[in-house]
Amino acid sequence: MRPARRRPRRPERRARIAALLVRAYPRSWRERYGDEVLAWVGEGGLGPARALDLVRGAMDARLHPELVEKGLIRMVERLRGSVLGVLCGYAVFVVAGAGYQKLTEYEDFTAAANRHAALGATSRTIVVASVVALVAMVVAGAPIGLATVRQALAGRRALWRPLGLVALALLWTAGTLALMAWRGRSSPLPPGTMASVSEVAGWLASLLLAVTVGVAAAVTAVRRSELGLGLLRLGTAAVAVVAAAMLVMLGATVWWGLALRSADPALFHSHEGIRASSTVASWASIVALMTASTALALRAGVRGLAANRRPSG
Amino acid sequence: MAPADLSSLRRFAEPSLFILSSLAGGPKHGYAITREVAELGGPSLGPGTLYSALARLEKLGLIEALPAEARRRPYRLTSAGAELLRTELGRLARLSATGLRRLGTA
Repeated sequence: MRPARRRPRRPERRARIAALLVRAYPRSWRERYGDEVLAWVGEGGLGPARALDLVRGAMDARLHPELVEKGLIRMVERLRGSVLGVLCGYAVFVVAGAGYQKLTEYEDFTAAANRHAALGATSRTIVVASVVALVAMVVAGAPIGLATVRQALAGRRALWRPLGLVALALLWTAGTLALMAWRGRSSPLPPGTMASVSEVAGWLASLLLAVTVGVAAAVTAVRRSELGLGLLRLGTAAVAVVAAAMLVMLGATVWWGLALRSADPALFHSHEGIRASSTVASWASIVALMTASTALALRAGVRGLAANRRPSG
Repeated sequence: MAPADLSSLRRFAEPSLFILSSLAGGPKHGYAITREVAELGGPSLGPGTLYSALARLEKLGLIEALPAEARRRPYRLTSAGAELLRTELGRLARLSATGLRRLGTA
């Protein structure tokens, strides 16, 4: 005998019907009032008369689309998209930047930077631009993050899971870095061996997983949160600075490779790359990753600045 | 620009007057407005009528939305909304006084 299908309980059924009726409204109206109507139905219930009232409301909203400020909603979404686009680009860029840091920390490269002014200048440029990018990212991200956490604490349940995942990703990253440091101090494996390569690959996979989960969860949380226009305008301006700083760092990294090739061709063509790989391959991979992430951030930053210039009314 | 009266809102004029009166007591979210309008003796506002009226009042600058709390968003009266409500209630008070006087009950 086929088991009886469970009938949804009355509040669930009511919520489903209300969600279906709200879909009859124009999209801009749903984005502005949809959540509120569903909250209203959650408190007040939904009988046939109220369902009919919603249908009449949907017809009215379609006859009077001018009632909802479409332009304002689109602008808010563009500004939010700009901040999130640069955040994603920056996260990838940081991974590439860590690769550059790892590549240039070897003694041969620090000695070359001391010998050749051009190499030293690129390193200093990257340090200054990375500090500018970090400060701008904090200026953009801290108020948005605080607003999101405040809304979660005020009972916005949709934010609980993504914010929990962000916290978990941060703990995971800190734990991985601490374990890496402890392992490096206690019994480091000789570089170039299979065991060493596997260990490094494991650490990298762990960090990449944490960063990917953390960024995806942060993006979800910010998309679900209610952010004021002022906060998003500030965020958009700050992330434009981040994108510009990324472009400067990309230029300096390209310049570093070209300067090394002309100043010390033997070192450039050696196998002093990350974990004793080809220097050229390591540099080219880092530049490729930086180029992709900078292109993403610049596109998002420019779109945000264009939206920011428009009047808000 | 705020209108001189609520007549341009046609079938939403009466619900709007009750909504403005409810918000005169402080910011409220949608369902709290509906409940108070019923307590004030106003029409029974379904969600469709309520949010159609709120959208019009917001568009006219008579009320403004405050940051959402969970999925509920409180609204408050603007100074233009308070001014218009005062005018409308004054007109109704004069009408009421005149009508009652003529009936000999005031």
